[in-house]
Amino acid sequence: MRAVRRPLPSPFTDTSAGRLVVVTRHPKAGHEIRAFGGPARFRGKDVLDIGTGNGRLAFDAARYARRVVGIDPSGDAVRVAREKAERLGLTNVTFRVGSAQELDVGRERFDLAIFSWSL
Amino acid sequence: MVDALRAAHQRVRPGGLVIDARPDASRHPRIVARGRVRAYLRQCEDAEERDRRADAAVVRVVERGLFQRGETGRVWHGSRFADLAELDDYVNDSARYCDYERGTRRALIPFKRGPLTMRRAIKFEVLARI
Repeated sequence: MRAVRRPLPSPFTDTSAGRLVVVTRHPKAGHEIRAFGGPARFRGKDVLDIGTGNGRLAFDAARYARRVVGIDPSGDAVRVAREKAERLGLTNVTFRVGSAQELDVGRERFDLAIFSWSL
Repeated sequence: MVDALRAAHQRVRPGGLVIDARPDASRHPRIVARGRVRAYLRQCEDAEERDRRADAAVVRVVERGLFQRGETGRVWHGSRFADLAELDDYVNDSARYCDYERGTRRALIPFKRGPLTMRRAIKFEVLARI
């Protein structure tokens, strides 16, 4: 008799019956991008990541976007993000120190802005 | 919060999008060790209040005609910690969590060598810039 393989639940599904199964499958990088509309929403776009922290989401977005600017009030976090960008050799992502209220990006305009846990 | 949304409105081209993503205060973050949930983190009332204020800010900018509401959803986010000491540092640095030492941490002592994963519900909403 052939064993029937049941599909695993999506990592985004949280059911009372499936919780223990679900938590063994941790979200991978890029899942947020997928949840936010997928690569198509980011492809070729100018993206502003507000509250970027160490750039986690900015780096994911930079895989698809034309340009990503990450902004965060923490100078330490921005330094870490810049170092990582340099280490990865990414040229389409930059980071700046600044607040969400000011958004000091000069005359630049963006197609997409993300409040990364910063509202 | 309304100021931040207004600032985003000015920096995004007409027809562009703003995605508001933040931890969902209505879902308790959970700590996973060896493939199972071992403890839940209690969020301070302040975090819930802040979440309500952010929701209200979104309502205000929509009412003012700056944005149009789009899709909403929730994504689970996992943050990995090498051991309990690393999780201690993270939680103690954050103003979001309460009663960690008295409650949650005790349940995690058997797993202090890690790794530990904090799973958080992140809710998001897509706003179209008008």
